[in-house]
Amino acid sequence: MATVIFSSAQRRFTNDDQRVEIGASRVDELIAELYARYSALEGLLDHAAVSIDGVIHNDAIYINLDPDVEVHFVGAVGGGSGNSVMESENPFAGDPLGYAQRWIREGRRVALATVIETWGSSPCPPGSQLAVDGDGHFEGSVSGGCVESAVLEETSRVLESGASSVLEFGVADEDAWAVGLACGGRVRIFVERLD
Amino acid sequence: MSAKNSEQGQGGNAERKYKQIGSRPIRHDGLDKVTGRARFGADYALPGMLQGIFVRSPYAHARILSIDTSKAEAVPGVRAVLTAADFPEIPMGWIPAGPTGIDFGANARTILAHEKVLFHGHAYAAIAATTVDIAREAAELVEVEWEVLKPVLSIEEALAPGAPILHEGQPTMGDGEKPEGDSNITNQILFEGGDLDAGFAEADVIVEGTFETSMVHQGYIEPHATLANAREDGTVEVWASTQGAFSVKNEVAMITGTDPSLIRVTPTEIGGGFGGKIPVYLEPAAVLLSRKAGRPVKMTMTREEVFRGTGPTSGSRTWARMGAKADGTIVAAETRLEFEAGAFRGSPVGAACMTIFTPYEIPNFKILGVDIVLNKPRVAAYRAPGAPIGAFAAESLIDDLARKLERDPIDLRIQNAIEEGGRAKYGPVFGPIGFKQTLEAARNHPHYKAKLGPHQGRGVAAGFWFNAGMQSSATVSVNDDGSAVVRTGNPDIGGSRASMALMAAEELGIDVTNVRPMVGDTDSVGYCDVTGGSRVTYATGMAVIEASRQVVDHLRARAATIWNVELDSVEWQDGNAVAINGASEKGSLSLAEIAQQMRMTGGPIVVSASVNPPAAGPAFGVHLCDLEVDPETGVTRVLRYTVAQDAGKAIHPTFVEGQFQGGAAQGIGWALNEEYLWDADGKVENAGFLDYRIPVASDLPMIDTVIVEVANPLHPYGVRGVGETPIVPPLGTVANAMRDATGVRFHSLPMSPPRIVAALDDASDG
Repeated sequence: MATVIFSSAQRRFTNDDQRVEIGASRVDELIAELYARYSALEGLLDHAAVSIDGVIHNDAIYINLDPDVEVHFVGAVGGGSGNSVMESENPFAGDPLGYAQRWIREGRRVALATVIETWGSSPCPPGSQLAVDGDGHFEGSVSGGCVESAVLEETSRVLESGASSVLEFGVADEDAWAVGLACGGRVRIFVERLD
Repeated sequence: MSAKNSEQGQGGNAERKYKQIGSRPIRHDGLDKVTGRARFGADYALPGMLQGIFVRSPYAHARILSIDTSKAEAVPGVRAVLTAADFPEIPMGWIPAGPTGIDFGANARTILAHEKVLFHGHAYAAIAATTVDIAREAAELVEVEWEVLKPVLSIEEALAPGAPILHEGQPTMGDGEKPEGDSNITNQILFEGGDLDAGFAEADVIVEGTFETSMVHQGYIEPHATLANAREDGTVEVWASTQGAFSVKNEVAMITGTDPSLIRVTPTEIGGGFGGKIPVYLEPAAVLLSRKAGRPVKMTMTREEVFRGTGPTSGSRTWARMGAKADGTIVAAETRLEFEAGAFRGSPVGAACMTIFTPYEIPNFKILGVDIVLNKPRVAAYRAPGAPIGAFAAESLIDDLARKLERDPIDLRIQNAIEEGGRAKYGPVFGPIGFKQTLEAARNHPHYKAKLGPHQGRGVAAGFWFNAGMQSSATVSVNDDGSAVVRTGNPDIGGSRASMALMAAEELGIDVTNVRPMVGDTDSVGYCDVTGGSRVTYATGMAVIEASRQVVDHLRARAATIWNVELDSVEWQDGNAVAINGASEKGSLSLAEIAQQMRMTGGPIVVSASVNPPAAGPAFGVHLCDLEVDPETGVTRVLRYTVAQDAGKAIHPTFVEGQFQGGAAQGIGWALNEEYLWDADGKVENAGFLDYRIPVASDLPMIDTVIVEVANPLHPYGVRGVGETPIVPPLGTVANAMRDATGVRFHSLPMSPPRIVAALDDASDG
């Protein structure tokens, strides 16, 4: 069993549990099990650095876990930057739905774009999401930056009309080159208003 | 790759006798540098090249209502004018999915202001013209309609109720009690352990203070410079003075909307970086100007621009208290660290939180870090970012504890020092670390027992840095004359080429002078993360060692072919293939002899290896400083300075010592002289080395060094990384020496002559 120890700050996502024993043979299994036990943690550990018996790995998900190891999720130890330390503590990093929920609570208008189908080279798999508010703030990604600006145009239309739509970008499409999807992939994106 | 990394280390093999490692060869790039032939960022040129400049804000905080560039564009010789309108639309706070955590929205706006200028000197337009003078003339003609806003120029102003908000709608991330609504606090970081109240109740002695530091610049000697060529076929060539060619490529791709496969970045020789050449300021603008003008564009910052527009490290305010029992056991510590992030979120306060109390076993603690935006330049990484600021507070307080308890300051530290098996305040348990050994090395140094004269004082302080791992690649090829080439993608800011050559030479068994190390461009080497985090000798070195070992496997196989024996009849000993297992009559073949026959045995031998090792683990340092203060003028002279630090294993001891000395020199400057001076409107008044005073050789004594070697089990030779730790202890060391010399505890840096005179006057009045 691996022993996971949560920092004081992480405990607000773990019902104040300070440590938990989990049987997992790899870090990705461990994270999946943690998400299953603590739904509030969902997404927060995807890119955290992982300390396994005191050795800190930045890119850890496929590392095998020996029995009885002690595991911590910590800020990434980066190339001299303090930024990465902060990102792992950012409760919304990589969590567009978390942002969407927060924005709705704040009374902002929110649209959501979701990748529903991809072909060929495409940086974000189906299920990737982008949340956009009425002022054009956005979180998440549906293409790694290639088509975001076109998606943003559509979300503002959808925010106005309330009618959902499906966007399609691909190399066959002249427009796709114009918006920057030059990597040879195709992608279909569903855009909806959240009410 | 990472899955097998934990097995790569061989426990820093103490038994192994090294032939090359630990020697001190002349650096391969040395002759070019001392003869002025080395080519730095500004030394590159292409036919038809234009000169690019930035147009910079006269205000520290203002909304851009409109920009009219038509008059500037009409100036003869002007070929392109760039504003935010020419950038692809990237919203603030846009962090692409994946592990990088880079906010390209903020990065694009750092290069060129979009909606608002956020600090004095913030660029809002760029111009490419046939000469710099024409570009400057055109800059005067860029017309902007401003809505001038009240600037936020201190932590106090940023936190005041009703303070102007830099980024409307930006949430406060993180932990603890957070402000309601919009705020200039962008993040809070909290670490707690034990029972703080019980801990302080147990303490017989409690010390407390609020410590302040000013924004300081990395002070690299070479200003930022780049040459960009966006060609008509869509490909982009960039030459850049940078700590990471691959990160320049990534930033150019994301910020200019260019397919990364079309971009090649060549890192030039680099005249210092210290973290400040990790961010990208010029290259995306130069590429867009070049694309617009259809000509290559060169951009070179002036020194003044470097001060106004590039990364200082945070100014700060840190309240802290510590409690100890009468026997010296530290039982409780609490702190609130407030860091200036500058114009965009992302100060190194998180690292300061992780490091401030971690060197000591303290069972009860609370650490809160606060990241604050204000109208000053956006901070950039600076050598162990955040750690020196935290250590300044903690090490000053431990010095106060030692005085109150009448204890020797090193003994008190040894009593409380963290050891292998001790737990960092951020959670994990440490493996082998050398803090106690380093403290003992400082205590045993003759410096610690030397006599002091009047107005002289001695200080001691400690600190550590994590030391990163991350991705690195190396290619080792064998030439037919028996020499070898080692190619990596890490710009050499600290003598790393010599260390790479030494490691390859050690594995191949040839002399280091027969290894040529080089730094390649992004198309000619495998991916390397930035030169930073004290990671290159450790991580890139592991790639070099791995590639070299595979070269040796090839060499053995070639010898087996030549001798017509099985591979297991060939052993590699000291640069020679030696026949064994009944084939010993074949004798031996040197690397050079095998290399001569490469074409007959299968062709050239070229091996690339890549790694993504875990963080190397901490290196601790302990510094001693003697100084003398002139009470009349407040002028301080550093008389003697000694650095002891755990290097794990010193590959090239001269460069390890150079890192110790360089970090100490920068830290002494931070402690005694360096600070940005601001006028009431937020303009830096001392944007040059005449008025921003970094230590020069004549200001400092020769800094003595002690290399402690507690092997890092994650690296084949035990390397830990040494570049950043040396700047962590000096702030506390110098402040503690000042306390010893003057009887006054200084809580604010720099301890410049006017402040010393004022403090001594106050003390004598009191």
